[in-house]
Amino acid sequence: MVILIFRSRNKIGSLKLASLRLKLLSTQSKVLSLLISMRCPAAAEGIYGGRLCRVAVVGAGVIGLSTAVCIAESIPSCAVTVLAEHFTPDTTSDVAAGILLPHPFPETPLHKQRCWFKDTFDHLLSICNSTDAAEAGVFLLSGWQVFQETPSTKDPYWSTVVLGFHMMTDAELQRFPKYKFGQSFTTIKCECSKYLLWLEKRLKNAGGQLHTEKITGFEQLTSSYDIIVNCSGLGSRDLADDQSLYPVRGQILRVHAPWLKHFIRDGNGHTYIFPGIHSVTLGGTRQKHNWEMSVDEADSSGIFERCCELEPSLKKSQVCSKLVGLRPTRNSLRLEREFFVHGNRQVPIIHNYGHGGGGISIHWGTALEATQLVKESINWRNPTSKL
Amino acid sequence: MGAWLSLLSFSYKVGPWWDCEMSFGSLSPLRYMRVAVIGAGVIGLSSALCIHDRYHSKVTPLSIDVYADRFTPLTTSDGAAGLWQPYLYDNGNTQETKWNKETFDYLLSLINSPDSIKMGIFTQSGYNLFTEPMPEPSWKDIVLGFRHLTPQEMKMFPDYRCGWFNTALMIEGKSYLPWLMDRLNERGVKFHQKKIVSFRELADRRVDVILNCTGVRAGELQPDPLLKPGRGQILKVDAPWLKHFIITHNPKTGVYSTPYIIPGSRSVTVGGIFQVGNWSEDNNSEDHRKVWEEGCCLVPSLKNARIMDDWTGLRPVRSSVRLDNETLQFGDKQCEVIHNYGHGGYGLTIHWGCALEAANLFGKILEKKRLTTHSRL
Repeated sequence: MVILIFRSRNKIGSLKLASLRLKLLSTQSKVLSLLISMRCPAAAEGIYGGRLCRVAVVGAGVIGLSTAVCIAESIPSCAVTVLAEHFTPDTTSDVAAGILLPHPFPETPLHKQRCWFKDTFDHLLSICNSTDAAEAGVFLLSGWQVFQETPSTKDPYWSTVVLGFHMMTDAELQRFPKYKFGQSFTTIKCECSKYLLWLEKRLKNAGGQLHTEKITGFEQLTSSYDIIVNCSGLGSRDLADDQSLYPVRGQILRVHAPWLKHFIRDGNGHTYIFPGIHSVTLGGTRQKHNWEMSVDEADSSGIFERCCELEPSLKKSQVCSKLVGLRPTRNSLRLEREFFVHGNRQVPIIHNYGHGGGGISIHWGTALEATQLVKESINWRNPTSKL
Repeated sequence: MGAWLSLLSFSYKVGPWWDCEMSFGSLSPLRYMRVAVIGAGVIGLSSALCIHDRYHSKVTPLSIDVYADRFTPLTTSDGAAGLWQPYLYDNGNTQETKWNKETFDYLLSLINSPDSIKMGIFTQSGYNLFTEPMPEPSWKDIVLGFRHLTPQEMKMFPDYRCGWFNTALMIEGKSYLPWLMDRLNERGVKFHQKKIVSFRELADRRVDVILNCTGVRAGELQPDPLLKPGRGQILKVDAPWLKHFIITHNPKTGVYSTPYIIPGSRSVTVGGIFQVGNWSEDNNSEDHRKVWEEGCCLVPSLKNARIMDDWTGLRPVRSSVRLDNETLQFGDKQCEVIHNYGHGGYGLTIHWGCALEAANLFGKILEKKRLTTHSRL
């Protein structure tokens, strides 16, 4: 009976699970914890005096949701709740094109960046080739990154992660007369408008919850949660009082151009064309320290003109929407644990923010690392909990 | 003899098609010529356009009429997925490889033109997959970025051992044929919904040159044991997340008999049927099941795609394309026939090279007529 309830994944089972969890939390039954330790030895590690470990994940963008899913699926002793002011389709992730192409972190070691990218790429690749691909909004996309001047690194660290990376041939470059050098490869596009919904579903299936709530201070959470995971992106400027975090404003256009099957990106990062499932994302802008969320028409015309130069057939496309997103940028990604003291409570906070323009590209890798930090925090809290 | 040679002096430049002209020295244009094109698929329409543009100033007036029982969107060309890709090997038929290349280069030259989308031309990359190593194809230097698949890429296709990747072109019949008809309309070409049952029928109407572009049913006008239907059945599926073509090959069962998936601008074509000798144009449920199941095995995400339609077409299969001319005599009437049929599953792929060649053959006919006309004086 106990196993059925705690392991159930179907609708009826989940409802029973939710109500039983409430009873658990309020009564703190030691008998139940004994039963759990006998039936589920792994779960016994994280029991907080007979109840589940309550984890609050702040933020419901790609970082928050993927981290929450990772925790809920790999640590059964955790009860995960995502708290955020905005959910899809209103997050920064929803604006992003979602192409897996790493964004450079000047102060993060390269081997870490590569590891996060590879973990994410491999994870999404297996979704691409599964029946979940359409619902998750994940698919393969080939194309070209072109440079007007030959770059100093012809073979970037991620070239062995993406598929089929090679230098463009002269014949391939002929279509881009202003460009001297190019890279041709196959990567993945992860459309957050679908992906975030799919992650929310996965989270609920794993027993997680979602609440719309703006968190203005960690003290709001210390009495109700045992571990906090901070995935609040740009919100951490206030929430974590991190002034090193700043926005890089990105504006994009979404156009209807179903004949486009390749991505094209100018190596300088200012002009890109990323075909999606139902529309093509044209970009962009990279305006540092610009907090403006409304659409700028001068930016729109600039983007459209530059993209049409790269791909003339776009002149026949129809603009469907114009959007702005603020990339939560930092010189290095903050992925570490700190302890937040409030009253007589000392609560571990795992920070996972500052992904800049590379959130989708490394989200799963950082989710895995954050989950590891959560596991260590549970063990830290109860080092001798094995019954 | 000397006079004859000077009359025949001409220059022939090879370059972009609009530059390709045979200038006949200082001879005046030929008198009125009546041309009939039978067939309004990609072969008929493109041949008509090529001939008109090359000769309308040399022959005035040049009257062109297109006769067909089926027009777009009901032709074989309309149902085809529209991927530019010949069969793997030309088996020594280098002329066909030349025509394929001419078509690719022509379409590629139009890719950045204002009409490209109206014409249904765009680039697409994708995979050719094999269960055993195969020699490289005769078209490997025609397409862009041809390369072998890496072991990492092959992991995505566990039922296959090796393969290739390249960037090719799409030329969608449903867009291209209406575009061709518009161009021909502008040039005063007339269209007739009529099934021509014999060449004689046209000879009786004083047609000087017939372009026989009748595809799979060419045998009804003139028996051709080499021409057979290669029945294909495809599914049109709504799967806009698919951005690559995937063609599998099995040398034992033959071309296009194993699954292929070709995304288009409006839907994804899923196929894998090639039945030589089968004239049925009806959709078959067993073929549907085979195509669907094998397609889903190749690309699991297809399982959640909505099937929009089934379509069956008959590829005009022949050991090689018939592109030649002959003179037919019907009593006191003589008629030149340029045959241009038998393009199998690569009609769109080879159409422009064949249209250029048909125009060359037309030029030779003109040359002969000038000689004949002149010798009468």
